[in-house]
Amino acid sequence: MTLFCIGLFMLSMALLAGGWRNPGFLPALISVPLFADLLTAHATSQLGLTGLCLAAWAQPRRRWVLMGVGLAIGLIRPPNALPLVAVLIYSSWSEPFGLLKAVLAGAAVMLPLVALAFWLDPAWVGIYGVNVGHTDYAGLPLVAIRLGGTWGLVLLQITTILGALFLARSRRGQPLDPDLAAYVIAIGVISSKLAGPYSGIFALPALARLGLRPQLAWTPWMASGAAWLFELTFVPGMVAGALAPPVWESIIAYWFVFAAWPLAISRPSAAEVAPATG
Amino acid sequence: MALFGLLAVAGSVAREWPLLHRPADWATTFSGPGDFAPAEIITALVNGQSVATAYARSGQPYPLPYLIAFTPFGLLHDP
Repeated sequence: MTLFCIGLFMLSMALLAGGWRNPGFLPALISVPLFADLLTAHATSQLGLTGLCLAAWAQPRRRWVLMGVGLAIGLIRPPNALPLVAVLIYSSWSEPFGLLKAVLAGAAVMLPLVALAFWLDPAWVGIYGVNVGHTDYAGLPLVAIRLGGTWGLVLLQITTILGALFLARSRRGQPLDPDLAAYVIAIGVISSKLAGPYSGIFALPALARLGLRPQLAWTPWMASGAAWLFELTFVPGMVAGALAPPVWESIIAYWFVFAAWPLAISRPSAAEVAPATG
Repeated sequence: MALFGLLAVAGSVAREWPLLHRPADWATTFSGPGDFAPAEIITALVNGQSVATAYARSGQPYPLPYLIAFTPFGLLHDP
């Protein structure tokens, strides 16, 4: 399963972050979120990331079927996927037939499984809602649950979707810029289940894309190195007998979202972008 | 870059300090079923029991159709 996870991560990076030729690839590969993900073999998250990267790769190329399939896969983690779903719909608004193709392709992937799920458990949607509200969380989702229960989570989700749409406001009907796509996927970290540093893998394509800008080429190294430095603060507790890092370690995922913020506010010029653009 | 490597090694050792002191655990770290093992759901599915009950008990924050899609991995025990 670990090899499966590494393979999916490489595919995600190849689709949206320029692959191994990108100078930002290595610091993303040797990062706390991926390390944590591989140790727990979190295949669901990796599969979700790959699906979202596939959808973001396919939209500017007008590969609608692949976009639909990618979104269907990415929706394995709905809180991570919904900001990108909203932005993809918004930026594809001028292509209704393309969107229809994407919807049909996604439905072809998911309908048999959804039908099987309803046959096995007609009430699974309700149980899913209960499960989401009672899962172990840290960070903002935990605050949202404490303040408003499941509705608090819904509000947090809506906020992230609106934030993503705000960033994409001038891109209506245009091919989705990969920098923006990577950052929108990273924004999903804010509303997603934060039950370990692995949640930060959704911000790694955005972090790696900073490496494609010569002026920011060292930022992925510094951001990833700072996260490892943060891990060193757990040494005293571990030596004293703690069996694992504290639960709030998960919030390190936010660090990677923050580190990639230049993608949200500036577009690189053609001359600034290195050859490997994904 | 060398400093980054040093930090990464030190950070990973710090994070996994307890695991390093339980060598037997290393054997399962890279060969286990991973964090995604809806065993209750698989058992219910295979044995014809109530999937609804198993799904509710599992507390899995993933939609059921995706858990069903992962069932073959679970059946392999060590995917």
